[in-house]
Amino acid sequence: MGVTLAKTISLDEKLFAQKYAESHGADYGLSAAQFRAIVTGIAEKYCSDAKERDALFRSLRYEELALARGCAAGNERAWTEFLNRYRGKLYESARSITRDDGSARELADGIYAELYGTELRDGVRRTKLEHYSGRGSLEGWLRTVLAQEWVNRYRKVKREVSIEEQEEAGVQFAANGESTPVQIDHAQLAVATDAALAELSSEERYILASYHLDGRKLADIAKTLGVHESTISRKVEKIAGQVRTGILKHLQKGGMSRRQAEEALETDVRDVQIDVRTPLAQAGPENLSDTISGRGLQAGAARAFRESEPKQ
Amino acid sequence: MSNLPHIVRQRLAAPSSGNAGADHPDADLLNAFAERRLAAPERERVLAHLGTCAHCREIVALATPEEAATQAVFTPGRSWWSIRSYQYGAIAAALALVAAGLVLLRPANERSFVSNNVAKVEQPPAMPKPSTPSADTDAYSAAEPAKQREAEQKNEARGFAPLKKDESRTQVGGVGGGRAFGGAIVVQQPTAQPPKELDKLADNYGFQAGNLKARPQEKSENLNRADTRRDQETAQVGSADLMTLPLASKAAPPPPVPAANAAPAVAHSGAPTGGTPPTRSAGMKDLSTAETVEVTSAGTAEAQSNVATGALLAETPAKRRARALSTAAAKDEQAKQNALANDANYNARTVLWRISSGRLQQFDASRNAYDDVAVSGTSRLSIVGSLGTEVWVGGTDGTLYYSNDQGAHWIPVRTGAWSKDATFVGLTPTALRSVEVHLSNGERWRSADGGASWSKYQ
Repeated sequence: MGVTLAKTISLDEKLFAQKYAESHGADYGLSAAQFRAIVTGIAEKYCSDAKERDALFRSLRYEELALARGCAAGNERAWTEFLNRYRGKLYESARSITRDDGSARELADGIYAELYGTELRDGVRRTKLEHYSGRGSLEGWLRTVLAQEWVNRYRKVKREVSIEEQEEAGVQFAANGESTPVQIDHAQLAVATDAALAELSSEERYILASYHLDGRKLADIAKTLGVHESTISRKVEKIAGQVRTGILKHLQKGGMSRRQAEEALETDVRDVQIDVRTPLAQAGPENLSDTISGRGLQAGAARAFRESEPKQ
Repeated sequence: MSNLPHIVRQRLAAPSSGNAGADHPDADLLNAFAERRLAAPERERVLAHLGTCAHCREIVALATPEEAATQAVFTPGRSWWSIRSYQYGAIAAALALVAAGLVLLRPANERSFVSNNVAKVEQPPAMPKPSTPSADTDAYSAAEPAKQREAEQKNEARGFAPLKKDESRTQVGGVGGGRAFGGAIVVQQPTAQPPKELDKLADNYGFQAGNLKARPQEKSENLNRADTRRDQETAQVGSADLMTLPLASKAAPPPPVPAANAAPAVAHSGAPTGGTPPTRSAGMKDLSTAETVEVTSAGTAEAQSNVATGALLAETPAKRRARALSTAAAKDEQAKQNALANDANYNARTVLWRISSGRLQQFDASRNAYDDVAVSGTSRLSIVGSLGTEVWVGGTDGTLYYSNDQGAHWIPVRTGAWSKDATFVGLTPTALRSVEVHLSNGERWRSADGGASWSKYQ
């Protein structure tokens, strides 16, 4: 495969010779031809045109790539170097991810096994290090692999937690039956919301999801995107306003008046943390006009709540 | 922070049609994203996935390196005060006002102290001209005669002895630092530097003078002594010119003192040859106890311009010179005293070195002349520095030699640390077996083990 790719993807010979020398690939048992095949394979995987390939060739971390691939090939010197450089860092990263020594050791040991390669396919040992492509640092890649493994484990374990354990942890479950909120058809609202969200840029959607769904801190989001926390703070405000405006606009396009659109957005029953069935049921003909608007709905709910209180 | 309508949260959490079945980016891509090494289109693709995939968002959040926090970009608006030039300008203006006030408030007779002091200044003994003036010296004198004359006139007006061109550019071997200037070595006259530079030079001076820097307490005492004296001893102007080098031998007859012997232990190549090397005369008055001021040289033209620069500051140039020179003298003297206390043979074993035409030369006090010293076969040498019995010599092709026996034996320092094309332009022995070198390519290296290992520094 490597030979084929080497033929199809042109590689600046001078640049490659320089990078190969810098990579110390020869020290890790990689010949120039092998290294060329690796590099062109990576270019084939990630790049669609010559311009991207050129940028990729110049940005790869050749030394770390050679080290990883040397390890993958079972080169003893490469493994010695790898262990010297990354053994401690692997445990440190695991510790920072799990926040627990025991779990960190377990996680890191598990990854070690995968890095070394315990699985044999066609008589050849398969190792995770074959997937490192040198696009980022090897240390960062190891950290990402650890994070992936940790998230996968966590999700797997989370699904296996018993209801008793969850109850002990204080989780409350919604009861079936009468108290279930009334399902109102929000199709139009949902369509308008989807349309408004689709208008956001990828970064805006990422920020919104990270902050409002994942509950990440502004500082963490800022760290990931490489901007200052205050920038993210401003963006979160701006994006929320933008989404709201977008929804209103799309609702109006769907035939609602401005006021109706605002009420539809504000009276989303899932925003109201009380049972709306009772006030709706109790709403007499005199209150019908009130229930049309969100304000009336909330007023009715509050009234029902007051009436339901035991009288002294 | 504003609340998001629940419907928005719900729709945001729902996998969008575009990414519902999409594969997750691999660890490589997520890592490259977290390390911000992706090109814009690829970053956009990853962000688009992250916007809809909580799983990958979580991985990225966990995988983002801690140090990325320090790379956060923050460019607050600059206030006018944050511009350094304003700050310095304000400080300089304040100092100038204070200085002007002081001058105006002083009695008239004190204001004319410079002209009064001229009468107290004794002319230095006549310096014998070198028997064979170097080509460098001649070249310099031919190139800048007008400048030189102008400087001399200015110096005379200030009460300094006329500057003799041969003297002002006599290359010296010994303690301190020289500076290449137009192919010749100009030993800087510390007398006319701005205060900061003077202090720095004085520090250098004391430090390099046998590498025996005065202990903090002694240094402080010396400085205090110098400070209290400086107002009275305005005639100390130029006294640093007398701070010369340790004797090759105490028994040797006191050689004449050259004008510009700011006494470095480092000598460069290309300097004029001939002439008597500057040494501290046994019969010469000690600076710290000198009652009569001996002015042996005046500032160069370059020094004059430095005076003009320093005029912005509160101190008058004469006072500034006196203070800095007395500080330097005190340090030099202290260093010598320490050396003598620690090593009875210090004077006897201290010799003078210089580089001439790419060759190392050692001063022979008995003959009052320099002799060539064989160091290496082919290397052209550029700089020499000595400390006690230790001598370091740097060449123009990255070669460095070290001797710990006054040049009897030389050890080539072989290291791949610096480029072979680099020339040594600075060399400062800082302690026993320790040296700092400065190369022409801007690199600075230091060793503390006789050149066995080197570390780069800024």
